[in-house]
Amino acid sequence: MMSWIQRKNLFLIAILCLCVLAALPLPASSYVLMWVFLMAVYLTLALSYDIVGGFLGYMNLGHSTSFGLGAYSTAILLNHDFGLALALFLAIVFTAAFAAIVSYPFFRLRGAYFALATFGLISLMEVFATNLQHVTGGSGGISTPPGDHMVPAYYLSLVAASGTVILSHLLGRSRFGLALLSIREDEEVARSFGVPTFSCKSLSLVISSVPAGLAGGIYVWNVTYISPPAAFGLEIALSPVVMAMLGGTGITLGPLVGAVFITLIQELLWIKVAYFHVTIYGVLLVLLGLFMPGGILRTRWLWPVVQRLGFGEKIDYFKKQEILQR
Amino acid sequence: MAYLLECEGVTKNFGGLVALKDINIQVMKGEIIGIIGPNGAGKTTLFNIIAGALPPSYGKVFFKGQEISEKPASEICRLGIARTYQIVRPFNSLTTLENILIGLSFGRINPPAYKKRVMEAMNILTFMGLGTKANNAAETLTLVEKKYLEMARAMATSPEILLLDEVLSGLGPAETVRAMDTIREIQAFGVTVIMIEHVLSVIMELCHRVIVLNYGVKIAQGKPNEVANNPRVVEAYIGNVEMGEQETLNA
Repeated sequence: MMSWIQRKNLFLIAILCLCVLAALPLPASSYVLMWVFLMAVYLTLALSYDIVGGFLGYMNLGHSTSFGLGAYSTAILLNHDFGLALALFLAIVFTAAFAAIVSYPFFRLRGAYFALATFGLISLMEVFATNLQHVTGGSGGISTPPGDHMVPAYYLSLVAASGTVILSHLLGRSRFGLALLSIREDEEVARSFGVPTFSCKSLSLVISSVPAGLAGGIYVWNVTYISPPAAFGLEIALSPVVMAMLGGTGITLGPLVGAVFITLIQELLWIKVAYFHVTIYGVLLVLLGLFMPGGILRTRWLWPVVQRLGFGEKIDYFKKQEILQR
Repeated sequence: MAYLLECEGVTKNFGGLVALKDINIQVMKGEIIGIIGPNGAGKTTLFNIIAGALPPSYGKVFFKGQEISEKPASEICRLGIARTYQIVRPFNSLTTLENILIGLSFGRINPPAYKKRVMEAMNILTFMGLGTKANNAAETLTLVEKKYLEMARAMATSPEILLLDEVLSGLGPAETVRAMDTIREIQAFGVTVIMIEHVLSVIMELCHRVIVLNYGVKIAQGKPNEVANNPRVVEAYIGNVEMGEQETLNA
């Protein structure tokens, strides 16, 4: 039935999806556009979270720090009459630099301690955003110059999301990606086999912060407002984690499926059973966690399809086949 | 005489416990050295110090005349000392091939070009008899296969010294013979092998020289049969025996 889902068709499938999404602004209402826009933002966050959370195996609960920093610095720069491109660029540089600095103390921690410390970081950022009134506007947040940016922002978010997909895909098959996986499996052994563990960990945090910072910038440009809870709140912090884990961590396709699935479910529930949606949403998550512990993609009927697509494999699939047949 | 590896007065304290006390060892190129001793004698601690997983409390380790006791494990691996673990520690969810690729890509000073890596990893796997398991996740292998994978991953770093920590324990008789052949072949490639082992028959047959540790002290070293007749070694293994009884034991 799903035999057209093959590795050789993968590129075509991706192009097709992109074409449909690119043509969407023509017929769709701004409601649908906003919904897909938010999906793309969450997708970018979930995928970039998965670089540290899935490949490296360090649960970075503070991933939204990068999102918030990107959003705030873009907003501040836009208010100082920087152009969008320059504002986004500087915001990304700032976010990446911040990630490089915090990686030093944080990667001295492991496991639950790392997760808790990074979780503490977003609370700290929220306190900063609330109290540094003259920079961040305090608890009232910041508004950026108004304007209807829906369609260009929508395209930008698509670019960011597909860029992150490509980044994650390339990472999964690179030497660097292999180093991250070995650290996930056994950090001490990885180090004794020559993997420079500390610099790999730092670099992965920096790489994962870039798409998140960009997503924050695009978000604030479109929504024209950012406040401490929107940038550093629980929802933006935990949603990407849940999406990645629900889809399947450590596979490029995982966070993608998770992000689409969750935004879809949330929206449907909100439309159909408003005010009861949060309860059903929670029950659904618990059930999925119970019955699909490895994520949706690792279920028995989907995993073969995933493998046929060449995901879940870190080395060039065809090259490997060729060698084995010799 | 320049030694390939030299431990000079290596001492390791864990708090008040002296795990190794003033150990002096010289290893020449091409040797197969056996390290034996009762449980808790400090054999694995010695490996950890040579491989750089632990720093020595006192003393120095030299590799080709260069001091390595202060260097991190990753650098020592790249210099040419690779190890296996007593309790196997493969990268479980990665495939066998990927396990080898990690040693190949990171454990060498000059890793081969990307395209050659997979080929070379396959060669190593085939040499170790794991060729058909290349695409299997390491966690699906049997214990014996995992031990070979450990050796293969260490060999992938193209080491000059291979530290084998009890690779033969838990193997059946036929498997033991095969593993001994593999170790001989590895030595024939010009790799110096230092192995910790409890199976004395293997030590007797395979090793050129044996070093005996007991309570962190080197109590004997020499040719296998010399060491086996050393009264201090017998005492360490069996307990304090009268000289008369000891001769019956040796007989």
